[in-house]
Amino acid sequence: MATTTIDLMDRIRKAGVKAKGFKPSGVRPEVPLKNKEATGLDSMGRVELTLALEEEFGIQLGDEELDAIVTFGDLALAIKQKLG
Amino acid sequence: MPSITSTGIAYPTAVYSQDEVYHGLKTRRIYLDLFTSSGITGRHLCVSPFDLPKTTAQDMHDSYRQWALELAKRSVIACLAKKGVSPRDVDMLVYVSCTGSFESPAMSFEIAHDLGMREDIIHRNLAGHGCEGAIPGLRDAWEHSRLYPLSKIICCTTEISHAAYHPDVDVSTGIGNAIFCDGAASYLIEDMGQSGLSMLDFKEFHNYKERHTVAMVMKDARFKIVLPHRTSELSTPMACRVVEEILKDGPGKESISQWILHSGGKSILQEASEALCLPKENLEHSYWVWENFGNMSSATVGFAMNHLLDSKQLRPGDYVLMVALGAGFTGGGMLAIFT
Repeated sequence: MATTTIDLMDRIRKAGVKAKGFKPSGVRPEVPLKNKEATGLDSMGRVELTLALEEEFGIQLGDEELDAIVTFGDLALAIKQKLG
Repeated sequence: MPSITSTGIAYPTAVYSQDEVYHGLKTRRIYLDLFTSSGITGRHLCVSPFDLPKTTAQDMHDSYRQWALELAKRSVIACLAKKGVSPRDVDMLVYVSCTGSFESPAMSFEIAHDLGMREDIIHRNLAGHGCEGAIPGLRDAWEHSRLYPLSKIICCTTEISHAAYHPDVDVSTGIGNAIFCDGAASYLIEDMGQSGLSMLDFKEFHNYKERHTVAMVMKDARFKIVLPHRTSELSTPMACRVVEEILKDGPGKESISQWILHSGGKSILQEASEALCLPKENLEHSYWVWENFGNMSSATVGFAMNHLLDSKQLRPGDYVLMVALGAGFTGGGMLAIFT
């Protein structure tokens, strides 16, 4: 069964708790990762989130892929593409 | 009373933007925010960051020996020149470093040779203390000065952080790539009624349980820095403990005119100043170092001390409290009064 964006958002919310200050409620497709108020993440928090997601999904996001990620929607899409 | 009567600093003239260092070191994109949000305006490095990924372990070793000697000598000369003291008048040389190899003879012998110091001076070489190294170095100088008040002692802290560049891609190297730079800071310690910063007390505490959390290890014949995601979670309680203990029998916190705290990271400064209820202005010299240089490990607090002394802000009777933090996990403090 194909992974849906909703499933991915749920898994991002669960894995993201490894990042300090992370607010699962901020994980919405339109929210930018750098929106600290919504996500609770500082610069190290965003590193922790990315590392947690790479571990959760067994993937490594490349530099070009990361460059293209602005919102959680972009992040979910990048993960989806990586998972094939 | 043993006093710091002069300080001198030296750093490479080449300065690189955070963007240049990020691209030069081929750091993973996920760490880019650590560079751009650091608040560091420029990184002084002896070697171009674009050349570092091509280096071998031997290159790094050789680079340490070359540049540590160069910057150490320049900082010692700058320190002595302010007081008109000749290298031949120095009785003890304490050399502190954690970013390079320690061959025998140690670096202090090379410095003494090149600067024409006497053959009967006392040499001390301190490694393994990480960024906290200035405190045990100054403490050794302080204790020697109390025993031999006529002595002139140089404590030279030198870090060639680029020599600890490691090609590993992990959080430690991601953070390290974003904040470290090269520099040397020297202190002249004298007694016999000299005016200066009289050293009153030292305190050091070690959280042995976390001794491997902040470290410099050898991996594939190269130094590699080990850092947790958030050093401030260790450093803030340690800084508070040092301050509390060193002021227990001394002046109150409100009596401290100038604070110097290890500029190990923006969050280290911010969170410690919040926990200690210190406004940013009270740490202006530490912030100046952070913004203009970054983290120079054990040399960092010396840059702040040099900036403080050069600013001529101190008046007789002003207390200064210096706190350094590093491997161990160790916190060290020095309480001093300007006389």
